[in-house]
Amino acid sequence: MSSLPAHLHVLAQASGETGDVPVDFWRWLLALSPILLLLVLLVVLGWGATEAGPLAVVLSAVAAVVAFEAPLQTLVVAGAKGVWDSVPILLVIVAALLLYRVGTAAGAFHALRIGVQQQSRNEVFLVLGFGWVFASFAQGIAGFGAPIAIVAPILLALRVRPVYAVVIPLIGHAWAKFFGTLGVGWVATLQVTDVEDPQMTALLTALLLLIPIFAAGIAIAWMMGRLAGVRHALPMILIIGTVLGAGQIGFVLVSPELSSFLAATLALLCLYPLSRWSRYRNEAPLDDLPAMSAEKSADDTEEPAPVMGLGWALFPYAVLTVVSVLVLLVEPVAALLEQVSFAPSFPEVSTGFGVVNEGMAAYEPLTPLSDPGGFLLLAALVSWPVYRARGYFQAWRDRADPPPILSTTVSDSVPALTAVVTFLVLASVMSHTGQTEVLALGIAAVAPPLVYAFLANIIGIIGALVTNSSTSSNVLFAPVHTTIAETQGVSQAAVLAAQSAGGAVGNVVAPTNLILGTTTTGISGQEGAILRKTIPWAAVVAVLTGVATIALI
Amino acid sequence: MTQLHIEGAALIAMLAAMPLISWGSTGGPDVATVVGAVLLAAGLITLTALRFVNLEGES
Repeated sequence: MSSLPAHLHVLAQASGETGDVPVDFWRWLLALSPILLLLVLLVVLGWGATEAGPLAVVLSAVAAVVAFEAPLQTLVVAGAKGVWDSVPILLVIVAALLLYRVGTAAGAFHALRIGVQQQSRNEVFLVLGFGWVFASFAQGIAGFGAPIAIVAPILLALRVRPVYAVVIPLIGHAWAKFFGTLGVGWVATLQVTDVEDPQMTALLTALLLLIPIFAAGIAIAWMMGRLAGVRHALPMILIIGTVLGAGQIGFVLVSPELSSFLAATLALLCLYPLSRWSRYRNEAPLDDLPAMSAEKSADDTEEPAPVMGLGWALFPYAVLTVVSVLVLLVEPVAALLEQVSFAPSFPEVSTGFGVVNEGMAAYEPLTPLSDPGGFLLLAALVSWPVYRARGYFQAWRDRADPPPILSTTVSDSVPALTAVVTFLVLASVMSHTGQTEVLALGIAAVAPPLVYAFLANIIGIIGALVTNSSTSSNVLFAPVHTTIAETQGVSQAAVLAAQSAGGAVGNVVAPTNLILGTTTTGISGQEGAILRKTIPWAAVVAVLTGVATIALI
Repeated sequence: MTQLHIEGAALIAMLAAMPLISWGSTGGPDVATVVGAVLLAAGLITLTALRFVNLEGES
């Protein structure tokens, strides 16, 4: 199996000492304050991510100096590392927007909608198929938020309202975060802590991930048609949920690294027979579809004929899938592409409380040709001349008035890129100054064993919220859980499983994921509206996971 | 100058800060670190300030 750039990312973050930061209520509250500020600004006051992010960074930096004894050099180096951490995500954003604009200018999204509706006119089936199954499949082969950037525009083309087009893939693919992308989260966990029983830990994690799997299917069906939508989708939810969940449990015993990818591939294959079933081939018998755009069949009869067939509309995604699978699974190809690598150097920095971040000659090497951003860019750059050669751009211009590709890509990208940079600077400042660890240790310090077991997955969620990554959440908190589990006498396998499940679920509230979605659906600045829908889902899943964890310890 | 231009400039400043800080803090001249730190702070402060001023060309 090829080594992943993300593995290097993990190693880079894992190097250092957590120090001896006093864990008291005021420090805990100060460490929490940037996150609280973000949530208030985004959810309550409705600020955009570009506006809220920098303020949270400033607050975090002030807290670092005032209460965490962070010298200026540590803040500056942490900030620079945060900027570098953002580069792979910036690539995903720019490449995904370019792919979206190429598809829009060629009429591919219009053709995709017409094409899939010829296979099935059932909106609930189609949205579950793309938002749950295809997004999970995409997570199996790509990371850095690429599944959201890929699926949200497709859902928009299917006339899902923009906010739902972001929310649905966010919660639909969250379960696959931990074992997805060749199990990078799992490999990271094994690297940063001494896992006593790896097979049991992987199995318990897969068991806990059943909760977000089924919760995603039910929530998406609920969003589509409330209770009637859930009733209509129930057979599909049970079949697909069982394939994803039982598939992952089965595969995790053989190969944790491939378990999400294989389970999602099986579920993808199940969509074809389901689409032949009259229940899901014909329109859903639902009076109200709140997640769908109002203008529906009225203009269906008047809209232009597609300029291409479904196969050509899906061509960029076929390129993306083939390239991703080839690079991730064929080691010589990966090794060749990883020759192109860039990495800055950073010195060792520390705080007055002994939080040390080791110096690195090559910090988090960026391998653009073997990263998801590179795959997306290749899909866009291959599709562009192919669509041009087949005359799709001209044909679609004659029927519609699509915006220009490059200038729109740039103007859409800039606000998203600035927000992502600020969020990763925030994550880096918090982790370099011991604030992130204080958050977890503070919870564990006041919680008796059963309460701690209940809260373990919430610590994982907080980690993903702060770092924008389930892998980084585990890198930060898996060693903390190991220590606490030992002192409190609870099962390490169970709390690590809860942490991992929480880290995966936390992606639905991770700011960079929100930005990826809002940018690729043209609703930049509405991150708060997304959070208002994902936070309740994450809360329900967290409570269920907490209860299940108590049963497992 | 529109909001998009200013956001773009702030982004470029923050991206440019990273190699300067890396270079200056690992054997390069101290002034590189200082310039990098100023660029990074300027980018963040500019983005924060944009919330409170009205410019044409909403991004």
